[in-house]
Amino acid sequence: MELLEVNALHKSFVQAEQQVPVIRGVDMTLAAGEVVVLLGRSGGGKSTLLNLMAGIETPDSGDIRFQGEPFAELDDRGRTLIRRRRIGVIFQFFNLVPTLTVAENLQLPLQLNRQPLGGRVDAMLEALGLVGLGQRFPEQLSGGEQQRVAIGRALIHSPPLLLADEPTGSLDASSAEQVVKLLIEQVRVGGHGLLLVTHNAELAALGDRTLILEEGRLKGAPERKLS
Amino acid sequence: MLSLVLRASGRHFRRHPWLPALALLGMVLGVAVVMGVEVTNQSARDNFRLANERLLGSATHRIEAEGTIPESLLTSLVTELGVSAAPLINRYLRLGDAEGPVLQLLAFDSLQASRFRPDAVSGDRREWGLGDLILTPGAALVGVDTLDESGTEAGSPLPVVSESGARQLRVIAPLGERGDARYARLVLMDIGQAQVLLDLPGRLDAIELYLSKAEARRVQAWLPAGTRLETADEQRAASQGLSDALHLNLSALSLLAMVVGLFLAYNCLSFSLLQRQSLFAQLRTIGLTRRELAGYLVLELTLLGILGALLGGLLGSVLAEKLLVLVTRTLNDLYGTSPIERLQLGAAVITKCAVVTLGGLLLVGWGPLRWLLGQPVREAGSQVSLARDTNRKATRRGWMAALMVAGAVALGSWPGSGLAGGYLAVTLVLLASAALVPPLTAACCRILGRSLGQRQRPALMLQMALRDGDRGTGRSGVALAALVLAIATTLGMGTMIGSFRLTLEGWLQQRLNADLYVAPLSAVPGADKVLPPELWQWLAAEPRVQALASFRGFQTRLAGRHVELISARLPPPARAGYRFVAGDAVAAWEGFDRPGQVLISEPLAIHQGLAVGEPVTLTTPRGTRVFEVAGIYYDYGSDNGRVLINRRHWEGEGSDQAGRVAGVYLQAGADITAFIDALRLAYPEPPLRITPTQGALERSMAIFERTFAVTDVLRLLAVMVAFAGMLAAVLALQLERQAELRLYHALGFSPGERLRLLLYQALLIGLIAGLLAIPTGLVLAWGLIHWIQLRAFGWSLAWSVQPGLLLQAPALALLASLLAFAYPAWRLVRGGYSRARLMRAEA
Repeated sequence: MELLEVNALHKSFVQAEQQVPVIRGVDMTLAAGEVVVLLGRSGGGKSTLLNLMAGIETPDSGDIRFQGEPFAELDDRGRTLIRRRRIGVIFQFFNLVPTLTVAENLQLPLQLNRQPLGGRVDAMLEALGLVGLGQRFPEQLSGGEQQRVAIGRALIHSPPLLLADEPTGSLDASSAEQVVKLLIEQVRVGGHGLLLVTHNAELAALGDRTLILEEGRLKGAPERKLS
Repeated sequence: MLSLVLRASGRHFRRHPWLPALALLGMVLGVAVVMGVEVTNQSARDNFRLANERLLGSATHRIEAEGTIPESLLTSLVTELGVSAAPLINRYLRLGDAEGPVLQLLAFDSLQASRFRPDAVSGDRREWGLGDLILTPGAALVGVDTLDESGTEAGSPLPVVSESGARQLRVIAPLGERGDARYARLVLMDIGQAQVLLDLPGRLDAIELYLSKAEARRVQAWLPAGTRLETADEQRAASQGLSDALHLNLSALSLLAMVVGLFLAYNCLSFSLLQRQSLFAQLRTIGLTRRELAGYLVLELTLLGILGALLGGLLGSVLAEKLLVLVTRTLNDLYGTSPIERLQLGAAVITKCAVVTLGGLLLVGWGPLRWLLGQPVREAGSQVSLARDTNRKATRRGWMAALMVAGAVALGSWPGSGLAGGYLAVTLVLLASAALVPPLTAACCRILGRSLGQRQRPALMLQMALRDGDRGTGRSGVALAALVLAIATTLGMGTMIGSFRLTLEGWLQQRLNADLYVAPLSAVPGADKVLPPELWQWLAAEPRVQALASFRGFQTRLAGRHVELISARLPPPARAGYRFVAGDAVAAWEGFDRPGQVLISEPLAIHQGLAVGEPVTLTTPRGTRVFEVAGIYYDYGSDNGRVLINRRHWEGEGSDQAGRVAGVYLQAGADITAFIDALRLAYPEPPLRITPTQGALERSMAIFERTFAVTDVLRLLAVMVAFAGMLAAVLALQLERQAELRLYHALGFSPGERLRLLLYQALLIGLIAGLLAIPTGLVLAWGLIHWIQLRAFGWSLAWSVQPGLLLQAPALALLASLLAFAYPAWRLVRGGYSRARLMRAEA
């Protein structure tokens, strides 16, 4: 059973009172422990596809199954609960809660899922290389540090699926390299599935598979090749 | 989880304290006004009722007459009919001197006190006996609070002023417990001692009886002419509704202020949610469900409401203490004396105010909450969404407004919809105005913007501000609508009060057209004295006197309501002071001169649905009488209504020279001062109040000004709430533009240009709000005058626009705008908004 299955997905938006198709019949799968890189130009629909998979948007037609269960058909509450429990989302612009400390930002998913905190926050801070920064607020951190916190927040509750939307888009080259390295490392160690959306072709080498979204359609290997 | 969300929001509020503080301020002020007025109203009603109840005692019936009743009537009642009856004197005294507080004096038969006045003789009787009360000269039981007030102890003398002059009571015991309103300002005496004190030998004010239905019928048939028998319930019912209209109006005005406060809270809540929209979107992305988010927000709203209710309640209690003095004075002036002035803070009033506060807040919070919960999660991390005021929305608003206006006109034109219909009509007008403000604002900005055109850079800031006004009504439209309503409310109330004042002045100037007025002087209220016949004869014979008018009022009932019957002699100069609402004046006076016809005042005609030619049935001291309405005249002296009857028909031939008040018309060129001197010389006793017209006008206006004082206070509070609302809304809009200012800085706008942009935005809001408030306020005033005042009090008022008030509206708005501009301007000058962080990075 695949971690994520997408079949014949369509999505369009209304712009200037006209229907504009953004996703036109996308099929793909993602397996547990697999890293898939999704490339495409800016404005090509990558974020929309990611939002669909996160349950933030609903498709016009098509099917999304998460761990074998229908996902897109659920109501908002149903999708939200699945996202809370089983998906971690990382954004380009970090989106940390500005009025919570680093430690509190990390605690959020655990508290939402009523999981015990234990020493998980401290362990995550150490894994992220942010020991001693737990009581700082986001605006007191650099961009790279903030994105690391965002990664930590996405992983701390051990979701099977990670969705990362341009995680290095706001970072300089050095920070971007560090962040991606950390992300891949954590994904491999934890056995999470990762869909990494980017317009940076250099990051494609880091994945197990590369897909290209062009004019709403996917090119590349939509399914994992079994070796 | 909840603790983290609370912590996140709490820190947000600490970093941005203005919005929640201003929302709270709006709530507190609105609640304070409602609480203050409700407590005042309830206290005044309770005090009035208490004063009435203690007057009524425990008897089932009462006999009253015009003036006093001879004691022999009581004796005959008991001996001939064998009924249980007791005497009563009910008068007023002043404590200390002629300016002292008013005390209520009740005098009764001490030997029958346990039956008719059980409260008086209950309690601790160790210190005194009935013999003390009956035999000691001036013996009195006095309310313990009054004794504390005057520093008097039992056994000591207590100086008072009665209608007969200065007197001394001998306090034989305190009455009641401290703080018990039933005994506030109360003096109890034995009937005999009171008759001596008041120079009323052998006279009573009333006879109290315990009667069965059969006995009541026998007594009714037996009573001589000039006396009437009433049940205690009839008397109670007549007093209860006396001041309903005043209380209702005060409540309505306070609710208007509350609406303004709620709008302020709505504004601030909306902006607070808008500011935190990104935060909530992130939480939704992480997995907080809509229901969980809604639960938290409702909790936040409830906490705000509880805090607002508590603080507002405290402030309202303080306000109530001040208002009660004004309202009690007004009630005494208009409806009779109630010496009790005690604040009664009951659980019912507190509960009512708490429910109104929380209910109002949840109501106004519902809209922003629904909007936030309806926002798609994908907005997380993206630019704050603006609710664009599309053409479709504007059209829908226009239709809604048209429907509401149609509804208002329908209700306003239909008198049968009553006072409730009038209030609903006014509310619809306000809502229609609110709906039209955003599209009108956008249209104004668009037109102004086009007229500016593409110009040199100096006009660019103004152009940008106008464009923002046009495109940004989605986020600022509600704030503007609230501002317009807040200012319009104060303008409407002010115009209504001003129109009332102007109408009254005109009426008084026309009505008080004698050269001077003569009446018996009395230090205490309620004294029913008449001018002596010799004085009338002197006046009639005096060659300097051209004409003489006389007036004497009697309390009667019409359909269970108190109505004053004025027996009057009105020579032609006096008749010129009356203007008629309906009916030809000549025909009306001809009818007045005929037996069986009367003139009635406008309030009476409106409340009872009477027209010229219709019958009016009065329960008078002489029994039930039916008269025909000969004319309806304007009168603002009583909202319960008056009936004017020719003295000759009421008191018989030869009674021209009698009455309580004389209006004296002098011959042309007569010296008023010399005439007054001659009058005083001829009649040094009894003391007279001689008032030239100007003095009478001033005295009358002073009484009305006291009535206006309450509404003026409420209007001032509404102005304060409106001002706070303006400040909050403009400040919120300015603060919300912080990200834009950073962008302009990044693009190269100088500090001066950014400052000018802020200033234009602030001034534009203030100017538009102020200008749009003018027509709304005037329409509101029109509604208040024609749909509320007329239906509540029965008074037609001339709608008059006061230029000062018209200027006040935009001035208030602009002042608030400039003050609100000050903080962001100060921040900008200090180097704020300089970091070029673009909007999307803002959480």
